[in-house]
Amino acid sequence: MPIDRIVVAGGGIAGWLAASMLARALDGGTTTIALIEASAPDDSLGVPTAAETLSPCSVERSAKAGYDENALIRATRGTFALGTALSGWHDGPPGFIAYGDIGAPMGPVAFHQLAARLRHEGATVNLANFTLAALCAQTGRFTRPIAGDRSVLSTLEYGINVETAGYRDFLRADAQSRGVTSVQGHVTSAERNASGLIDALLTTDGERVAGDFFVDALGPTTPLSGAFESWSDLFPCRTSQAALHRAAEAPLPFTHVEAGPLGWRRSTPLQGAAGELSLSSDGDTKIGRRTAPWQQNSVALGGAAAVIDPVAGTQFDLALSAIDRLIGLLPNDRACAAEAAEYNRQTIEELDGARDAAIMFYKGNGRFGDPMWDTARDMPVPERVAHKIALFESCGRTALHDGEMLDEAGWVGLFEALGIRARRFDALANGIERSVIDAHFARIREVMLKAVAALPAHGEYLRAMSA
Amino acid sequence: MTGGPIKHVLIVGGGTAGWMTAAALSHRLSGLGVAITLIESEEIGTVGVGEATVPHIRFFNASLGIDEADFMRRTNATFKLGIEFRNWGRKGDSYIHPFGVFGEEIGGVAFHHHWARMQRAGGTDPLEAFSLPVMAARMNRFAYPDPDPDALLSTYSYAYQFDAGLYAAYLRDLAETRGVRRVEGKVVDVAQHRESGFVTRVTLASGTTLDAELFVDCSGFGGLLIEQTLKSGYDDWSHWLPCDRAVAVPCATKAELSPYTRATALDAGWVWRIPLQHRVGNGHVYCSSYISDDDARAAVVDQLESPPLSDARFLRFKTGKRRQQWSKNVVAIGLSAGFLEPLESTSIHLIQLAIGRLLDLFPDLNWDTTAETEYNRLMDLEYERVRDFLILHYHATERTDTPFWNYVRTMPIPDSLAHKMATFRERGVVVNYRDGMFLDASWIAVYAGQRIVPQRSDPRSMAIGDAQLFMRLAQMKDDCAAAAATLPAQADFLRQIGANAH
Repeated sequence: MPIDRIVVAGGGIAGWLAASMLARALDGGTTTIALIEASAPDDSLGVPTAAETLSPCSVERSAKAGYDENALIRATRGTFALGTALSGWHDGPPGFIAYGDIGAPMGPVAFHQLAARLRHEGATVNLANFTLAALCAQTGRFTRPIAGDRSVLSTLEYGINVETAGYRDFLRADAQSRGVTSVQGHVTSAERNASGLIDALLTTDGERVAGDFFVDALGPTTPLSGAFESWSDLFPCRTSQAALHRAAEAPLPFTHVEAGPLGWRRSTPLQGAAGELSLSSDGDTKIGRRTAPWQQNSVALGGAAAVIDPVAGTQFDLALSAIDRLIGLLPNDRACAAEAAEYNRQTIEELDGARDAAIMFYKGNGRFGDPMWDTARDMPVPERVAHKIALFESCGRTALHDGEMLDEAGWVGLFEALGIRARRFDALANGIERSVIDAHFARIREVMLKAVAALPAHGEYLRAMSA
Repeated sequence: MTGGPIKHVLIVGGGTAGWMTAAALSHRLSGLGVAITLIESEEIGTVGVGEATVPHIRFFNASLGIDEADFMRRTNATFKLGIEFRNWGRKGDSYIHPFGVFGEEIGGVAFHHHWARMQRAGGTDPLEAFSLPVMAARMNRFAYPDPDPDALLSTYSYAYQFDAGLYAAYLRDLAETRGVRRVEGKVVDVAQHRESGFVTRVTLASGTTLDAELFVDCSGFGGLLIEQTLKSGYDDWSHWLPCDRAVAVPCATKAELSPYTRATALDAGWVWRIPLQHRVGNGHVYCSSYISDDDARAAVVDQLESPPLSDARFLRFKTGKRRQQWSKNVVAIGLSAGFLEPLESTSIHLIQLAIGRLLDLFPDLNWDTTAETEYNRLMDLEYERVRDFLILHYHATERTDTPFWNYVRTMPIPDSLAHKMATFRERGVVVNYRDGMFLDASWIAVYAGQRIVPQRSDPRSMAIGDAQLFMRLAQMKDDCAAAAATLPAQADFLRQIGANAH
């Protein structure tokens, strides 16, 4: 049976993102899309938030899908994001996890390996001082890279911070303008045929919404449940609070995550506001993921597929990536086991990678004396996380797995910000004259500082955009 | 053993693996005071099965500062745009797996979906009609890819076909210039540390002893250190890739110099044809359960384009992979690490990968095992993914004419490959990974070339109507043929860049 009608369950940001993306992808075809929404707190991404961040990869995906970036920023109090400042995770100075490359390699030797050698020889090197996004963040400056530009500024990678509710409304308007229809109602159950395929979703109002293919964006408490793999042992913080505060000062181009004795809090700057999110120990939020997010003719997305501690700020990225993947594998028949198998393989790899990154914030903490953090540091972690840490601590290399969102620079930035250092460095770094390395470092810093000094302040840049 | 850098590396075995390792290590570790010694024996022949390469070799050569024309002259090299597979899907079939992409995407949907739709609607153009490098290869033409990424003439990459013995000699010169010490001799004894089991010393037949801290085992199939000494173990994959012997015989170049390798399926295996400047390398890879050595030799000799230049040489192997390619202070590179038949010219590439990873994870005298674990994890993935790609060539066949083909057609295959094939067959999606040398276009080439056509469309591809799609495709096909025809003949191009050996 062909797919003539797709039904998206859930009107939160994940549901409207799916509806809008699908409508764009299927533009010109005959497939219709309907969405079932109910007024409820938006936990469609997993943990409810007031603000979310689109990583550079998501910004690119959004542009590729055809969304106007400026319109998106206007609709969401949007600001630009260059990375995340981390404080309170250890005794040392705050760290900064920046988007984009760290320094520049010398031939086959990575920059952070060169830095490790200099440190070994007694020098103090802060990788952030050689990372363009971090330097922009430090000075509060920003500009979008210009196409065709050959200067160092062309390497700047940026994300976008958005107000969650504003973004949802933006996506809803986009979806509706493309013919997506919506009905009100709480989904209670699915009506399945003899072979287990869903024929329709039923709501509390007695509505029966029929379709050929279903997207479950109902969040962690979805009634369309399946087997669940719990990760609760790995994440001690299971109470969350989200709020939007007014903010008069010009927004900074980065988010700030601060650890405290009982948890952590993130502040995401928006235009005229800040999205606050705090997580604290205990509580009963269910953490983990579905063992098979796509089953038969139904795909669970966002919080319905997985809830991961949002410390790494990747909830939105994961949902967008999943929808992108769904579109690439979109079936044209209700019998779609091959598509489902491949979707699940990739999705599970990506979610497990995101879990691994989130675990690092706990396992890799340096807050000695706080019971929650002491316990987290000593907890057993999945084998691949243990190997990743051991390998980095040994020689500064990163063991990358299929489907992980973070690349090597991302992991190095994370280890660095958490104060984790390698015991030895790349042997090849010893083959380069010290003076040559020093000159390389000095030149990178000079070029970057010069470029950054010429940029406008982030707030000014935003004002100029809206003018 | 406590700390400090490694100062002595001993490479056991010459050949392609040994000299590639020696050349790369001596170059990349220069300035670190690492003494590199290579032992090889004139008595032990080398196995030069890997005369055809994949494009990654160019990065290896470039990283060593090798001048392309000089290297090509001295190794009698030709350019390679891909591999032609004959008689694989069915007898009489022919397709080329190129180093390049097919067509261009339409409406954000990859080309092969549109092509598949056209096939289902009765279209007859093979996928290769939309590949510039295949069209060029079929015409025996070659030139460097256009640096303008928007140009049709930029849609390919290239590798080489060369004399592996001459390549090893070329690298030997390079390595010796950079300080590698070559010792002639045959290892008769290997000493290990009493407690740790680490290899400490090898003794040669002459009585000479050589100590080192890191040993690279390039000793070939037998795995002198990795297996005979450290008992690493071997994962036997011959139930999936049952060919276990080869017989090689060169002949003179008769035809126009073709910029591609050929692999022609026979009754119980396949023959390779690798055209070099001065001769053609030929060989028959076969399964000894289904054909005798004499018949196997006759099968390859009978189809030669010119009389054999020497006696046939026989090789035996067992397809599979060493369980731990890095164990203690021994890293196996080349045939000592595993064997995968040269159907997709992967031997030299796997050597190159191994060298790169060894350098990436280069140990020190603390010998913490994480580097070893990571190295083995990464190499296992590479071998397994090449393995799956090779199995595909055998399994995706409609041939029922011999017991050999009946076996490979019906044998159980790894789950990972079954998933890949099902995903492509049903929905045209190529399963791919972060690590794994073959990208989407390679898988598509083999699937389509061996008659696996996606059964269902990408729903997004239906936005374009049939008539319009057929017009677009016809245009792409004409463009490919026209652009390919503008390239010079390979022989002329070799002369033009000064790479001709004669």
